[in-house]
Amino acid sequence: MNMNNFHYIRKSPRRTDGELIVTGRARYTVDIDLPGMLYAKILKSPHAHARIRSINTGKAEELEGAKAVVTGRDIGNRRFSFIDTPAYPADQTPLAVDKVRFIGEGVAAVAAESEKAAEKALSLIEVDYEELPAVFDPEEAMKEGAPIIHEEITPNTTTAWEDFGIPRAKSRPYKAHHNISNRVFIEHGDIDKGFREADYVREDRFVIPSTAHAALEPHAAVADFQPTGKLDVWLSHMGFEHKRFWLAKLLGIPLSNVRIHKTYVGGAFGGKISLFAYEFLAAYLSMLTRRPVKTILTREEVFTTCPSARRMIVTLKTGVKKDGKITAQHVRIIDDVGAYRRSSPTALYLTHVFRNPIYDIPNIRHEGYGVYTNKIFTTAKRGHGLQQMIFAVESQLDMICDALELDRLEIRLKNLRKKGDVLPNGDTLRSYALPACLKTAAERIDWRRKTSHKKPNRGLGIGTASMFSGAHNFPFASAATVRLNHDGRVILYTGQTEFGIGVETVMAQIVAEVLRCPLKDIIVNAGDSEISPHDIGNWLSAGMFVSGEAVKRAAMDLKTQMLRYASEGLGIPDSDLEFENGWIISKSDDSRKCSFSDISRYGIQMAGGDPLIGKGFTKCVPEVYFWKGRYNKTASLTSGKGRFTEAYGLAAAMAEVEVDQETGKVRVIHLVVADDCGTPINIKSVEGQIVSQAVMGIGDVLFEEVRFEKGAVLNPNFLEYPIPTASDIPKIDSIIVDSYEPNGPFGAKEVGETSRAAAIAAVANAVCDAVGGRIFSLPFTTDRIKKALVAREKRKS
Amino acid sequence: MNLLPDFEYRRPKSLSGVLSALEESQGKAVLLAGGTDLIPRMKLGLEQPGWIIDIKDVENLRFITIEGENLTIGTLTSVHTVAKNTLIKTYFPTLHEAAVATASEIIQIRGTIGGNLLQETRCNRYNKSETWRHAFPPCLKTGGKACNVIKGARTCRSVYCGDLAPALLSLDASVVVATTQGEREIPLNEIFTGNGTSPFSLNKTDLVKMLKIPLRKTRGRYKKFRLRETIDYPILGIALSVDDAGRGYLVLGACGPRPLRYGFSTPEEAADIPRKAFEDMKPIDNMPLPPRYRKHLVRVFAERVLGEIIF
Repeated sequence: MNMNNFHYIRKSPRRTDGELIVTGRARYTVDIDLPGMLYAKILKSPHAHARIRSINTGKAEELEGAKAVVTGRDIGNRRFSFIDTPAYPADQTPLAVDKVRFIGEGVAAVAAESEKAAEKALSLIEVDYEELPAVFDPEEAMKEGAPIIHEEITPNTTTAWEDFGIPRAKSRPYKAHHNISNRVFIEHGDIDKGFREADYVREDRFVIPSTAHAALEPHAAVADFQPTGKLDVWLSHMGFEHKRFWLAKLLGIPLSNVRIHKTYVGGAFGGKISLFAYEFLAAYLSMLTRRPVKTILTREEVFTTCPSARRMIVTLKTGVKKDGKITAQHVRIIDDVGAYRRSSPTALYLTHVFRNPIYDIPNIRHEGYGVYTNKIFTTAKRGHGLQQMIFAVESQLDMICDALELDRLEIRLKNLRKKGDVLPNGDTLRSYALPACLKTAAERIDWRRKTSHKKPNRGLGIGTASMFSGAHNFPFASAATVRLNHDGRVILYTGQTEFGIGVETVMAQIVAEVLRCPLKDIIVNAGDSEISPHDIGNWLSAGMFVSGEAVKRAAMDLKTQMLRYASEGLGIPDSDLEFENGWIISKSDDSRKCSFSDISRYGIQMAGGDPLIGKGFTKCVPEVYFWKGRYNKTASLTSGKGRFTEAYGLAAAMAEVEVDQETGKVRVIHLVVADDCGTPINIKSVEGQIVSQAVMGIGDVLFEEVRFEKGAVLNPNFLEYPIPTASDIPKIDSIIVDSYEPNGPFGAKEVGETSRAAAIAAVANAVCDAVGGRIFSLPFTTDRIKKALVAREKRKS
Repeated sequence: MNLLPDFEYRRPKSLSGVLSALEESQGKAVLLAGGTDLIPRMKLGLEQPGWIIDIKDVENLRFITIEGENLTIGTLTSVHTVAKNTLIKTYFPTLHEAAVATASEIIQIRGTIGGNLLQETRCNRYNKSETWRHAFPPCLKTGGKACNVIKGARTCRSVYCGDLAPALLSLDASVVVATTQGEREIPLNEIFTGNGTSPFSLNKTDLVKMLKIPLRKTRGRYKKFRLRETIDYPILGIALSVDDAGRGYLVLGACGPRPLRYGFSTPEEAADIPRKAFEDMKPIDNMPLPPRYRKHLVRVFAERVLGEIIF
């Protein structure tokens, strides 16, 4: 395909909803106000681990304005989680039932006439706790005699995975031995042989803390349970299928009775796919009171009651030949999941499969343990396990270079996989421009000259990363419909959710490209569970690759129908017709043409009233299926076998930094990120994705950590939890390395999650280069850098 | 959403109106100017005043003028106005730099010099919501018997984080306090108690009306170490001002419940300050970076600032 031949993609049209957002007219969940609406608040546990002896809600119930008060015992053991499989049944309840497992866990909830009345009611609830010994360190939690955080977990009547039809086995209760919530064990090749072949082996331990998603919109929900049994909800989310599945399951109402209305969402970053307890509680309280219920979390509540990113300890043992060729790698990960397991089984699997396309390592053992602790539980954040793993692998690669006196760029180029490689699980790298990413980034930052003529206090670093483009995960597939209007304009119906990414614009671009009509003639109707077709959602890095392909197919279906009617109506063979700028025109005689509006009229008048609707759909991984006992290449989270994804996005980053040798303060001078995302449908949107990840990566390395004091989040606000400000952002070059992915819409694939990990590794390695010593824990706060500087001076003397 | 508690609201137009309202409230009132310190504290439940006396409309409290041998700055003058004033920039570069380094421009426009000066001390166990604080026993600053940072500590070591005070102290400024009984002038250095529980020696009925700075040309610098290049409170602030005769002060901010001030009249005396300051600084683990490191910063920045301005 000639890539310069595109009319509406590979361009940067202005966002179709830009005016709506910048004038404050886009409706977010907090903007929803309904007649008779109540306000909900949740009472939170001040204890990290305690048994609930009793809860007295009498006084709260008597308060004027309080309309409903519920406790965990009222709601019972309705369990939910991100993962709910027969082996790993859901372990969380909307409110604590018998005991609390972290500071901030909900114990009771109130719906009242005003926020103030709700707060007052909370203060009148008396909870009698019996404090239990708590454990905060995952390695302590695994020891004999550590406090037991979970008693045996009894699954719901059916687990979600059974509802989806996935598992072969029946669900069973889960008993967490040594507080281990889940495990993974993936092996390829012969690890012992690999280490025997190595000339040099080293083992290092890296610690990656939890970081916050820092979405600017506060978490909020509005639920309105109707007398008809229907539940209308407005949420801050990343895809409605998960939310509606879990709301229906936990409330015991039919799935299609739940309608998730379209809202704009002020940022998600991977943190808003799973159900939140407050969302269930808003709906539950609405059912109880038969009135709409709204709840808005404070920033502190977002930090202390909603999960941040995964905390991991990565122990990495790597063997290399003298020339830098990696022969074996043994990975051991402890994932400090906190009070509930959530997506840990997925994350531990992803730490392997996400990085698998980067280096061709013949012998790998990858083992991981999720461990319960008495802290706020954790979840996915942009990269979900990738950045933790990449920080470890790329840091260690630099240490190997130091030890063997190898070039840091060469060792990476030497170990990269190649286009066309088939990974051990069967995934094929049909597009793979990582070598080009590395070379382009190296040129842009002037790697060779700068590393050979090093300036004092300066350092340079490299990072690489890879990421999937959707996986066979619930809801597994996307569909789209397009409808032709009388005026010739086209409405696209898609389940994609706008949370700051410009998805409505890029989907409109795809339709416009297929139909060759002006972008303004495409109307996008997105993100409403009752109007939109089935959709994977905006997670799994699947939005463009999967839903974009469904949209493209829907537009092509409509185009085929339009072409047939144009041919009939004009009496011209369809081979002589082409679409151009909203017209269908004869190639041989351009005076013979009809408009889209004409086609609509033709359908109604001459084709039996055909309104012209196009349909398109696709699966995340078409080859994978399961159906009544038949399985094909389904992935196993615990063994890593089975197909994972159709296409991998890739990225390389390089950074130059300067470090103040007395204070440890870092100035990032230049950050270059080269991202192989296939065809950029919207160039500015893609660059925005890359830059935002680069900025996030700087925050990951220099500032960000959700800190704890005896289980309490010590920095639950944006003053104490610093994210980079505009003043902290250096020169960032985002380079699109367009590899053309044959299976993606117009050659596009993932771009939203790769670069962050590459940027983290690049900045971290650059700092260590400037320091002349290694730092093993993120973030690289100035005191840690200073310590490394002092250690370097000691080594010298 | 964090909700504000109920309170009685007054908005007098004159200074005498403010002073009599302060008396009338019998110690239940707090003064509201820019509100950048007070409102977040109220939302966290750290301050529950029965009355709020809003002084924004009071006339003649916004000025920067020369009065005799002093420059006087009215208490309602915004931090931004201080930052933009050319006389201040020329005569008191330290104050100019401190104003520029305060929070962000938007907060500088809102915040006043009086409010900035009298901001409450901070601690990462204290500046939290009531719900958050329920996980710990009450601390010395919230009426409890023990500190939640240092076991057995007898006094509160919450940190005074103002940027302007170190600069003003380096310029030997004083404050003019008004009450219904009349006005009095107090050296700025004397309004700090050094006790984080109640960091200021002023009475509940006092209003800081203006600041006075001896009008003589100085050289100087304000160095602020913070995590990010904007918004943040100082992890450490160092102000140095020196007059033509080589006399001056070096002042540490964000080092404890009050700024620490060191006077000098010779280069030799100045040269000894980094050592003394390092010894005097007794940080505890109540800020974003660990105490030992913050102590280390004192020496680095004291030496740097002296090197840049004096040596």
